[in-house]
Amino acid sequence: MQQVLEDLGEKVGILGSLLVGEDGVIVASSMSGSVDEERVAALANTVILSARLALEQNGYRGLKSLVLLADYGKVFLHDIGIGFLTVVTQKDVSLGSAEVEVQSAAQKLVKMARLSV
Amino acid sequence: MSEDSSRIDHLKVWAGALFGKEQPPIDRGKLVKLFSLLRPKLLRRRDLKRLKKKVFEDPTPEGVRDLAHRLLFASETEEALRVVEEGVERFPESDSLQSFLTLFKKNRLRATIDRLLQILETRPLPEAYGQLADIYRDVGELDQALDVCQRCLEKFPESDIPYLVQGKIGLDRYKRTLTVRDGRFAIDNFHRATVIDPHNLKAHIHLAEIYCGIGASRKALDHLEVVTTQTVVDDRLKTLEANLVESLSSVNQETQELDVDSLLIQVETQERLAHDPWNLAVTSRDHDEDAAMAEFSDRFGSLEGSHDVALVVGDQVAEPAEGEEGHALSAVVAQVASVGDASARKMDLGNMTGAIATGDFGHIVIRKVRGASAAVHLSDENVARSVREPIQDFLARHFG
Repeated sequence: MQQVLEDLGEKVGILGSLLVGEDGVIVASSMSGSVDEERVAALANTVILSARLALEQNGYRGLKSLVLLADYGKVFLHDIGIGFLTVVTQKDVSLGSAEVEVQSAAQKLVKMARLSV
Repeated sequence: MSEDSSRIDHLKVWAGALFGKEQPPIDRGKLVKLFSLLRPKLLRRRDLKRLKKKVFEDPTPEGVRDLAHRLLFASETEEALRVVEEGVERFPESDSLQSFLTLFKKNRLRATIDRLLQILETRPLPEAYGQLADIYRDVGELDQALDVCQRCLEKFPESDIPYLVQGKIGLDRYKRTLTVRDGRFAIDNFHRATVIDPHNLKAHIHLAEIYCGIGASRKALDHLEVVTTQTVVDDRLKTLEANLVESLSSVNQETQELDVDSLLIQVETQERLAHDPWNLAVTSRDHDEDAAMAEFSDRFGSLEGSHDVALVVGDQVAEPAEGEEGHALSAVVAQVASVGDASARKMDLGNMTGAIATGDFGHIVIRKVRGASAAVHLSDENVARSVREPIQDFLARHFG
């Protein structure tokens, strides 16, 4: 899993990635030095839980991924069963290409998670 | 017949008409040929003229981008640049226009950047560092601009130039994010520039601008006075001065007594400036939310696979008439925007500008500009991709 995150981190514009368990605990991480991974993990967990709750309360079930777009970057949150893959990118990264990279990494992680369970 | 002799014949026709001499017989075939050659160009010119008129009368980010593309195609590069710059000024929240302008400028300024890098290798001067950092700032390469400023500060710690450029970077960001962090960064750097050089008029003007924006009108006037006593005041500065005098009389005593940090927090919380420094009107644009909702619903609700749409402006939820689903989506938009905004700020990513949720329900695309958020619930992934920019442009046009 660590290797998948490290490979992802080598793509242009990706600042780092984390695998955060449903309880908010970091399972694996590959973040650049300037990013506080504990902080990102806690915030990512808050975002995904709040968004899921807001969606389910209003009849939108089965959230699989959430992309947060912001002034200086993007945050990709992807459900992989045992938790969420969280990827932080620079602002200028193309949404489409980053989505492809994140989805591909998420699929690998899902397979690994199934094997390890 | 050769092309030259054809041209000569054509000239003869015109010379005859001009000087009243007997005209040679007109070869209609040649005229038709000439017209058919010119026709595509004439049609392009006519289309361009119509598009210019349309964009001038009813500007939209999409229209501006389309016009700029056509102008570039017609090799009217300078005009294209002017159109995009005006578009960005009018719709600062439009990401697509901003990216277009950045790319455009980058290509144009590549040679200047290379030349400055060469100069800095042989003869490093604060002015050259400042120019290079300013160019990077102009094309949106803010990290590179800050890096150049830092290199300049290492070599010339007593120069006001890097502080001025860093202040401008902070101000650019502040105009977009309205966060305390960006506002404070801009103010601190401009102040530092004025401490090093009390006659740095640009830094004083920017301080007046930012103080006016947050409602610290007295402080803004103090900085503007430094400028007005040392230089000829142009129309822009006159407007700023008039705006400050006006705001001093309209802003209540309680607000005037707040310190700068409190005012910055107030602006961040309200997501809008207290005053627009360069226009006499107060910033918030008059919105007609019902009209905006009707247009939004018309445009995005009729897309293939569109389930519902929602528009949330401040605390007001503008909903489509046929209720329940739209209401549910509005509730989702408000909650996601709230948690997304807070989290993005805590991650030092500025404000949330959008979110895309995907699940068993399909795709929900949310975009946010200042206090307004809009969302569309779609079943098709490709349609969901294609609406991201148009929704942002719609919000920029109505609420930016």
